Amino acid sequence: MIVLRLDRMLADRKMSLNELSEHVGVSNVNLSRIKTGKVSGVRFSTLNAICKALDCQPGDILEYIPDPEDE
Amino acid sequence: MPNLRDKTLNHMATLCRIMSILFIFVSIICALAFFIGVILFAAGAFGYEFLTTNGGWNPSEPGFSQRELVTEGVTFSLFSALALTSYLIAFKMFRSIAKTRHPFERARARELKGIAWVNIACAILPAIAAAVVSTLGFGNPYIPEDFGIDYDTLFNAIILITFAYIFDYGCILQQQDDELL
Repeated sequence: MIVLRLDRMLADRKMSLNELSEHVGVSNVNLSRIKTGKVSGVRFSTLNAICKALDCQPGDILEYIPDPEDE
Repeated sequence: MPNLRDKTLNHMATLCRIMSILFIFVSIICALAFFIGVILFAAGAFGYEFLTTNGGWNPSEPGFSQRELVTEGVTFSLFSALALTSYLIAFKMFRSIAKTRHPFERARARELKGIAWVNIACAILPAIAAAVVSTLGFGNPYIPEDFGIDYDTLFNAIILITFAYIFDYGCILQQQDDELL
């Protein structure tokens, strides 16, 4: 399972979700859906905008967690 | 500057709003037609006949025998009731799309399938009802000119139900797109 770890980078860059949504051009509501697990994928264009806004690499915000049934 | 997606969405919402208003009027007409059918049926059931000026019933002259009244009353009211159901579902569907601006939802696909199935019933059931009622023995015999199945409505409904399943697939794609950040 791939997880988007935005909270960590937002805290490091001292940026709020609202500010990030303005920079990226994705609504606050859609970015919040990451926390509720209602996001099944990310477009490269969105990932590009997030990395540009947070000045980071994709690997800094993407993390692989093995699925419980795989263990 | 609105992009192509926003422009198309606005056109779609406007058209759906117009269609929902149109289907209100059509539903009212259908409801009136249903009551006319019930009146025709009641007139025939209570033994009334609209006969020719000669006082008898002649199939080659205009007029309605008791059996014709009953048969036409049943088919007319059944057809109107089914058409009314179809139009009310269509009204609900277009109103929802105009309001939410999200056409590709599973509920809309179910409504589209509902309209198609009701139209199939509309094409076939009045013919069956006419055959059943006209043999029940009301007054003079009345034989319909054809089998009574509305083939145009039936084939259009089959096309509609096929598109309803295609639309359903579109809803799944929309859901996947909504889950894509």
